[in-house]
Amino acid sequence: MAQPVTYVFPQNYSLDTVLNIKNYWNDSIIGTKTISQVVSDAREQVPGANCIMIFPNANAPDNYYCWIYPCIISGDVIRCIDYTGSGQGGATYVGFAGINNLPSVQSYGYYGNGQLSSGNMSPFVHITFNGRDYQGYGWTNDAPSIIVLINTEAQVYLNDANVSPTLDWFSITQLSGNNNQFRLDLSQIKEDYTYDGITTRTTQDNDTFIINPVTSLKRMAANFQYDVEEKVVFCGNNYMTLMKHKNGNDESLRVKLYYQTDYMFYDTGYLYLNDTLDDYYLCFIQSQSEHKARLDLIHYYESNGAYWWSYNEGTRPSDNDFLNTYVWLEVNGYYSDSPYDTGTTDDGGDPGLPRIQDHIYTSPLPTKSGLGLGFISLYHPTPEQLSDIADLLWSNTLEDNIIKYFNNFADNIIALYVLPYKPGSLSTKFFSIGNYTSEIDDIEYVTTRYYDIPMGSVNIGPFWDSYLDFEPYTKCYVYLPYIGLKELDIDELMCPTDHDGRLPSAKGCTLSLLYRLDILTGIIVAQLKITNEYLSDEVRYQFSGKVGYNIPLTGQTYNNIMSAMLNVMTASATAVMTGGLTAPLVGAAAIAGTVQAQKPTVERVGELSGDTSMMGQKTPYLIIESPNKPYIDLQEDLTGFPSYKSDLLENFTGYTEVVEVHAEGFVCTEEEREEIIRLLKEGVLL
Amino acid sequence: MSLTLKIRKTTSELNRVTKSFISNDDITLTGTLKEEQDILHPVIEVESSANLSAYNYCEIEEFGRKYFMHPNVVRTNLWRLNLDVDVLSTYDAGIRGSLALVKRSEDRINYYINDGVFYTEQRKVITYHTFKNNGVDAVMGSTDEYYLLVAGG
Repeated sequence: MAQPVTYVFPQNYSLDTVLNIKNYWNDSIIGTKTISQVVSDAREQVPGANCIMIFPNANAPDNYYCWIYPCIISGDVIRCIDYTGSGQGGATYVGFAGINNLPSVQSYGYYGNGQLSSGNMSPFVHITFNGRDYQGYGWTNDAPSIIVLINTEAQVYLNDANVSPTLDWFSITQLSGNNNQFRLDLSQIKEDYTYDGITTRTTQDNDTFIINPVTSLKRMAANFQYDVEEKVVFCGNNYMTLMKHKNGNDESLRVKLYYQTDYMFYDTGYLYLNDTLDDYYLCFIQSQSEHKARLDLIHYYESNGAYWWSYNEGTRPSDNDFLNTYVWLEVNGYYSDSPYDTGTTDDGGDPGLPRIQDHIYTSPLPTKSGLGLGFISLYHPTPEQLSDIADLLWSNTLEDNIIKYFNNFADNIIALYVLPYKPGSLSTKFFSIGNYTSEIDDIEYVTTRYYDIPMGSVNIGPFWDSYLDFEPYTKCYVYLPYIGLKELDIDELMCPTDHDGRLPSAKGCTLSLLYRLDILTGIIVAQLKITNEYLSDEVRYQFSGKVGYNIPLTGQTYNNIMSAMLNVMTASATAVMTGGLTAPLVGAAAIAGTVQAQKPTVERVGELSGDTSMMGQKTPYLIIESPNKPYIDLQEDLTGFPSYKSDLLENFTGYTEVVEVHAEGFVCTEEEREEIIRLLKEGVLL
Repeated sequence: MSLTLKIRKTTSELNRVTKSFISNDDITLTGTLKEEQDILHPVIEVESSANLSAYNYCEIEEFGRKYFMHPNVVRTNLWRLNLDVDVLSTYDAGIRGSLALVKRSEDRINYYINDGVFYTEQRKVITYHTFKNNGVDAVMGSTDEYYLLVAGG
């Protein structure tokens, strides 16, 4: 909170400047006072004043009438405080041109006894403040030569000074819930005009308001005495009070908002507490578009939504006050997306980074295949054509006519292999090897190296629609042909987050599989992608493997094949059994729900890639292991189900067991109160 | 101090906040308190020709409380009533107006919070789901194909 600051205008005066004080009635000099003493006297009379104006008499500057006007400066408006109750509700604005016939305002003068006392005088002023000229009116155009601005806890305004006004709203502990921290924590309404000229506004859109049950006026009123005005929310000289009243069988609550000591619009009459269908809540109303906010009430119907009153023109805070409250709310992170509300800013719980996630789509296939450049050719022969090629390779014709790249003509044959895939359509030509073109015609050949092969999709969704559908109770594996068995994260498949990092309302997803094949080497990459109402083909898993098997052409190639096979089999033999007992979940060891976590993981598929993969299962499939929960009739009546919601107990029915409770608002012995809390923690039937 | 005892029969559970009673069966006894009593656990002797052994609840308006009642027979028509305050029923309104963080509820439930409430068997359910293209199990290709890779060509 800002330290008190005092500023004297004009600057050739100071707080220590000595004034000759003249008698209010006869101008006799009765003594001297410094400006500081005069300020002190004035503030005793009017605690809310944050400035006084001292007007000179005709013999200024040495002799001063002490027309001392306690005023409030708010924004660029100076307003005298009207205590005469003359009907303008304290809105006597000084300095506005063209306003005539103003009622008299309370002013002060020093009488013969040297005490500052009140009198009545019409205002007159001609000053420049904050760079604006205020034209005077009334029966004189004399300007006050001294204006003393006194900082209040609510606002700091210095002449042309760039000081941000401060606001720090506090509430009584009953509202804030933070012992001795007094941080304000009210209900909220967002995106509404703070003034729009109509009496009430309504909304049933639950996104526009947040009800904090602690701020229920009915709840607070239960603890109030009758006809005692209780201050509940305060910020310097601004505060709101509630007063409970009983008239016959009718109980009501009167609300007042005091703004700069002068109570404002919110003397709205009575809010009747007997009505059992609705309630009232203290709140802030904020308008993002206008950059305004104010303190207010919500009248809330469970079935019809919320509505609230607007200020009436002429009795509302200034635009600067609206702005100040808006800025205060923004700075204090009142509308942060944090799931916590700690009342502090230093202990975490206030994440700032957005959880927006990026899309991960399938990348394009490589384009440079090495085929069709003359170095290598890949043919797709039929068995009959392959037989013809073998005859050609063993004939004398080939040895005589080809330019040999290698010592052995067989080295021109790089590989002969089998794949479980044929590209859609292939062109044909005469079989050529090296630079020799044979007479074997219409043999298909491959010019594209990489292919995307859709491998189907499967829908995944919850079975229990509870925590049993998630780790560690439910597990998910995928068998991928030519790759093997892989474990997937069932939590993500059941509830994939959307682009903004939120858990979706829709459960489950469609899991689609894409194989990307390098037809030249048989290497495959399997991509698993998620699609739901928020996501479309987002890549989540990628695994690699090898499809196909080689056919040995020479002794060397045969040895190479067998060597590779032995390595695969050795690796597989060491992975017979994996997994085992894991530690039970805390607090759940007695509950059979930990079954999944305690059961061993059994390997179902060994290494199944390369040559061995062609003998394995060729259709991909998911394996989902989930617990079997027996149906227990009416368990919710007997033990309740997890809730973890905070609310008044009257909004729960049946079996209810609490973590913590504020058992307050009624008179009982402490032994009884402890007994009540104990029973509520054990479980009661409401 | 005069007392009015309203002897009642309740069929409700001990932990039910609002008790229900067998109607038209209440007995009202009035008298004068003769000795010091613990307001939370009073022991009151009453004279009544009614068979109070069938009753289990008592309300004392002067104490502003409701009690579980355990009657003992002293002698014919003389009963000793051992009372223990029923805090839930006595402060029903205040309890319902209290703010609480509820752990288990019958009607406001979040099934995704794991607090071990669900019991499961040792048996687990294992299901297999094949990937399908247009309703047919997906495979890379319907047949195996030869490929011959040569130098040059």
